[in-house]
Amino acid sequence: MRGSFKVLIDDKWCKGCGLCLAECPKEVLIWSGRRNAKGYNLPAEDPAKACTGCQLCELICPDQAIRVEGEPQ
Amino acid sequence: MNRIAEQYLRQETLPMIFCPGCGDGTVLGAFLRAVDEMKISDQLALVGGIGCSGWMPVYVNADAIHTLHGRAIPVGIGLKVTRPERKVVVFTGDGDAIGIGGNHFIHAARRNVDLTVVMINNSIYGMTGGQMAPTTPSGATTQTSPYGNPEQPFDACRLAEAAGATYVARWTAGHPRQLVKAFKEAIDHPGFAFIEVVTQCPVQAGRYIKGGMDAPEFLADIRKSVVPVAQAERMTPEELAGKTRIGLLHRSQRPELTQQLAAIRGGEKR
Amino acid sequence: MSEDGRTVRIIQGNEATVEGAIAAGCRFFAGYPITPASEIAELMSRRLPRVGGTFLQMEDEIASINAVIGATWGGAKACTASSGPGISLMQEGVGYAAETETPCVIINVMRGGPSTGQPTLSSQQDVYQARYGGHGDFEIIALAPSSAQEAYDLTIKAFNLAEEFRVPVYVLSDEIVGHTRERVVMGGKLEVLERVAPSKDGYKPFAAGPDGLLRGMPAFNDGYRLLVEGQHHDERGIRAGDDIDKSATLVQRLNDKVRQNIDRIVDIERIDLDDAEVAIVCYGSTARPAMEAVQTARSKGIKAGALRLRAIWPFPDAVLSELADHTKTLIVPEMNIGKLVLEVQRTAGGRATVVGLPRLGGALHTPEEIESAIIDAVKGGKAQ
Repeated sequence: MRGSFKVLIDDKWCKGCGLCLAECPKEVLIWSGRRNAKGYNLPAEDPAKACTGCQLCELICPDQAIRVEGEPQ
Repeated sequence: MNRIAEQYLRQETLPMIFCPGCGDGTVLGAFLRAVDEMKISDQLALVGGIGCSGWMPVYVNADAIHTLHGRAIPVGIGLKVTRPERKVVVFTGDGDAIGIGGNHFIHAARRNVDLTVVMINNSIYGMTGGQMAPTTPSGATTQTSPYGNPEQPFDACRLAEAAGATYVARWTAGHPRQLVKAFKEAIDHPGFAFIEVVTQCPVQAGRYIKGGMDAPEFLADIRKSVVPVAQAERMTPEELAGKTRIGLLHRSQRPELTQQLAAIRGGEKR
Repeated sequence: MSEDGRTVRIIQGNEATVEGAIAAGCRFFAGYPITPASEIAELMSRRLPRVGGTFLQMEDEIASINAVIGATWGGAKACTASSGPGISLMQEGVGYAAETETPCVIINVMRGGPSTGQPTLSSQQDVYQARYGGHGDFEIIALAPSSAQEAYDLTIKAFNLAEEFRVPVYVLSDEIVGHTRERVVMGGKLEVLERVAPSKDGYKPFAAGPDGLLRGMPAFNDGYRLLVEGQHHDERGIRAGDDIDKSATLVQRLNDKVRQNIDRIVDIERIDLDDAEVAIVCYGSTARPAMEAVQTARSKGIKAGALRLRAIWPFPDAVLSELADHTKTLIVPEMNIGKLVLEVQRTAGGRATVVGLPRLGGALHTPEEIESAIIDAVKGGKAQ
């Protein structure tokens, strides 16, 4: 899918399991180095990579902490 | 939080109790997407058993009951027959459904009562700390099989089909899109529908059975162990050794319980 | 049928129980065959579909009580029936019903135990099981019919109490009551508590009124978005098992709502007690020979009377305490090793002599046996 997409990680609910990193076919997600209030490592979008909007990260996230936003072109 | 979760989760019950990387949350997410596409949240009657999976209904903003260990299916039957138009979905685990609740499971399948039963199979008793389950592989070490499991596991799908279930599918927590479709098919199916979801349990099974795999490693390991049914048909028994078939395994039609009961009530059977 | 809509039939206690349940609005029954309760399931299977209800024969008694719980939240008044072994299997479910304040009725047609025991003979051995059979602290209500007529009347009452108190209610029948054919007057103007749907406005499903009771009974798929939780929970139904205060509050209320409203539950019959020196305290089928013994004793000039308990749980402490103040001897005939006699002793507190008249083996006391205990008590002979 082509277009402009953004992966939003909800710090509050993320448990830092890493499934989204493993699942992303384009390796868009990386560890951010930040932790949330519970001490879980938080992922983030790699600014050097482009999200294709496939939503696999959103679907795999067990804590529903990911929202992929954007419009297909 | 994504839109589906914002719309369908019972916010005041969060956070979910699941360990980091547990597949249960992924399965729940897929279920919510099916509910969203079907627009049936008002008709849902959700039933949870005991164990990690039994918590799944608790987080959904719909009518839900968190029952005793093993007894989710009879509670679901009571709900279904008193108002057959409601969509009863039972969330259960391998221990709940085919260990302590095995008798209810086979008899509900025999009756072909219109329930959707979702069995999370993590191959271990997770919530109690990692003991051997009726699905634990032979030889696997757990907290109650320190010398290796001397028993052999159930194949829940074959059990369901043999007992009379009319929709039987198996997927994994790594197949969320297929799960959305399976949930929709199962809920629409007029009869006993059974979906087994093989999930990663990094904290208990990952530690005791898989030698310390984390969630991504565990899920990758599960994906390696499964074969789609169509592909399995072209494989030799040697190639299939140790592999688990996934996909729609069985679908058939036969008289459904609530319809039979309605016929009795209507005098057609007197 | 008479003009007032009442019918008179000669039927078994077990049949009367079924008719009482249906008259009370029961529209769901799940059960498993067991002697001496099987006639209840048999008749339910015939009767319920004709009144728009559902009968299910389950795979076991565990499934039965849990299907009853599901049906109750599904919107139906529901009950199950069994005997000793089956009631034992149901205990976890009864506790679940108490915890989740699920109104339901459990009919125990008592037989002799322990174990398979005496399938075809009567007993009153399960009176403590009804009260203490489940794990944890909770109160239930138990009614004990002495006749087929009472099997009808008290089953209706059991459904009403289940709805009012949102508790599981036992009908503690027994093989003798269940299988004796007697005249039963049915129908007419009955007091039946209809289920009322609570207002949805700011509704908290487990928020009690000042008397500790929940108001009304909601059903699934009526727009409440209910959460029914077997762990300790708050007023919304949300898990609070790790919250010490909320857990204590819930368990205290589950007990207090029955104990503190006991005046609404006490159901007794007083026979010749005004001037009685000796009183028989009885319940269930042992009340039958007891009544005859009291009559015979009276005809011989002995000041005997009887207190018959139709509701045995919660135990009517105040009634027994008052009786002990005015009576020299209390005799408690029971078809068990001597159970409710302990409650009578506790409440009498040494102010009256309490004599147990336990009987094992499955045969009912004869009136002569009880009369002779009365005579012994009057003479101050064997009474202790």
